[in-house]
Amino acid sequence: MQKYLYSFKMHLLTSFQYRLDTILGLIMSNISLFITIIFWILIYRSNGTGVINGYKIADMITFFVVSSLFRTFILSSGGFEISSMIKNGDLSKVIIKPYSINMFLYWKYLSNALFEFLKQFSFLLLITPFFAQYLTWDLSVHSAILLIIYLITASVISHLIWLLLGMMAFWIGQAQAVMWSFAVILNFLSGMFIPLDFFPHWSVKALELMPFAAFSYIPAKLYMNQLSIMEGTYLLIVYIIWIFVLMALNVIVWRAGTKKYSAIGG
Amino acid sequence: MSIINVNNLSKTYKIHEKQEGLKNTIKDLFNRKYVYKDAVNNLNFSIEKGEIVGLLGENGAGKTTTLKMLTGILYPTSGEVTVLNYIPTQRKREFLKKIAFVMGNKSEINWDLPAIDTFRYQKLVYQVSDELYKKNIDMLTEMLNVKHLLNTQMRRLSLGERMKMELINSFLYSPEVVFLDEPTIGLDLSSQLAIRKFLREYRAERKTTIIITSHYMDDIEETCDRVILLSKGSKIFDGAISEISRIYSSNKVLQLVFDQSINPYEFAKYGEILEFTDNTLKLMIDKEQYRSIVTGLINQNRNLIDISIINVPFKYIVNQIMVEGRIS
Repeated sequence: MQKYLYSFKMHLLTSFQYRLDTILGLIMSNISLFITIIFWILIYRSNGTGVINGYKIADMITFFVVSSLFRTFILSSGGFEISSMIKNGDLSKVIIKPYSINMFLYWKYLSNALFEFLKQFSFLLLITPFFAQYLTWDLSVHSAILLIIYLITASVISHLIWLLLGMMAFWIGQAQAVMWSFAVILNFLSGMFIPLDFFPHWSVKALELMPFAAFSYIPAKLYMNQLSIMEGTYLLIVYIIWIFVLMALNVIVWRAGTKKYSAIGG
Repeated sequence: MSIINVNNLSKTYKIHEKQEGLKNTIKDLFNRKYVYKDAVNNLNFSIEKGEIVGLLGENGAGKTTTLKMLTGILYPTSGEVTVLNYIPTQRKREFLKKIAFVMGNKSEINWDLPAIDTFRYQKLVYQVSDELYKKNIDMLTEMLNVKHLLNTQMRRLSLGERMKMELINSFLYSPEVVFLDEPTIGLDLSSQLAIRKFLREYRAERKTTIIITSHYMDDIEETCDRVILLSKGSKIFDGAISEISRIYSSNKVLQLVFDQSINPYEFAKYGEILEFTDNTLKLMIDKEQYRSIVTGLINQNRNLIDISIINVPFKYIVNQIMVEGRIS
C-alpha cells in the first residue's frame, strides 16, 4: 500500500511543477460550470414559473455545482493511459513491475482528481458570493460522511469501467474513439447533462441501479436532501456489488488481453 | 547451474499489411490482409549465473522479441522459457522483483521530478530495505558519477545522464538478472565508455547475470563473455568472443598511412577494403600473404609513412557473419 500512496504523492507533486498551468487551470477548468449556471439562470428567467420538473432554480444550480465537483472524481484517465500504452508499446515498462497496474493507475489519477477538486473548490469559493442566492446549504454530518464514501465509490467504479474500455486496445489497437463516444453516453447516464428524474419514472429506477448514477446524480441528490440516508445506503450497497463485478471483468479482460499484446517498439 | 533455459522458442507476429493510398485505405477497412512473420524461430540456449551475454543481430533479427519473452512481456507462440526457475509470462511478483529490464528507448523515470523521487518510489515497489537502498544509491551514483545530479529534474539532464539514472533505477534493488536493450543508443562516446565500465565493475562486484543487446560492437566486446548471434530469428552462433575471433584467424587487418590522399581502389587487389579516411586505409588480407604484400608496397614507394598489422576487429567479424547470415 505504501508504494501506491507514494505514487499518489509523487503525481500530486508533479501537478504542482507547472505554476502557470495550475493557475490557468484554476480558471479554465471551471468555465463549463460557469456557462451552465448562466444557462440555467436564463432558462428559469424565461420560463417564469420558478420551478421546472420540481426543481427550483436554487436546486438546479446546486445540482450542477455538486455534480461538477463530484465529476472530478470520475477517473477516466487510467483507461486512456492504458489504451495509449497498449497502442505504443509503453505497457512493456509497467507489465513487469511487481505491482498491480490497476492500483498504480488508480492512485496516480486519484491524486490528479484531488488536485482538480481543490482547483474547482477554490474557484467556487471565489465565485460563490455572486451566486449565493442560487445555492442551497443544508448538509447533515451523516450525509457528509455518506457523500465522502460515494466519492470513493464513484472513483473506483469509474476507474474500473474506463480500464475495461481502455483494454479494448488489446484487440482493436486504437480504442480512443470508442472511449470518447462512451464518455458522452456515460455523462448522460450519470445525470451530468440533465438530472435523471427528468426521465420517465420507470427508467429513473433502472438508471439509479446502474453504476453511472453513482458518479453525480445520486451524490447530488443526497447533498440536496432529496434522497434519504436509507435510500443512499441501499444504493451504495448496489454500487459496491458493481465494483466486485467490474473487478472480476477486469481480471478476465487483462489476462486475455496480455496474451494478445504485441509490445510494439524496440 | 543454468538460470535461463530456452527450448525451441518461437514467436510469430500477425501483421496487418497496409497498401498505400486513400482508395486502398478505404478498401482495407473492409478487407484486411494479414501476413505472419517469424520474429524468433526455434531458439535454444541456456545461460549460467553470473554470465554477461551479448545478443547480437541486425534490426529485426529477433533480439528484442527474445528479451521480451524472457521477461514475460510477450507470450511465446511455441517453446518454453524458464528464468530463475520461473515461467516469465506468469509474472509472479517474486520473479519480477528479481529481474530488471532497461530499454534504451523507453524511460521509466518521472520526467518532471528529480530522479531521487523515482528511486524512492522504486525502493517501495521492490521493497528494498533502508540499509540496502542507501548502500546501492551510494555505490551506483559513485560508479556512474551522478551524485550531484540526484536532485535535478530529469528533463533538465542530458541523454547520457538520463540513461545513467535509468541504470541506477534498475540496479538499485539488486536484481539477479538484468536485461539491457541497447543501453547506449544515441549516447556520446564518454557516456558509452562510462556505461561499459559500470557494467564490467558491477558484474565483478555482484556476479549479476546480464543479457545485453546493442548495435555498438564495442559494448559487446568490452563487456560480454559470450555472444549469441541471431539472424532472421534463428541462432547462427553461440560462444565466447575469443571463439568468434578464431573464425577469422586466417585473416589480418593491414593499416596503411600515406603522406597524401590516395585512391583506395588501387589497393583492392590486396584484400577487402574495411575503412578508408583520406590518407589512411584498412585492408583485410590473407594472413599468409601479408609479408609479400607489405614488401611489394614498400618497393613500389607509394609515399607510405606507417604500416601496422592487427587482428580482425570483432565488429568486422560480426558484420561479415550478419551479411552472410551464417558462419562461413
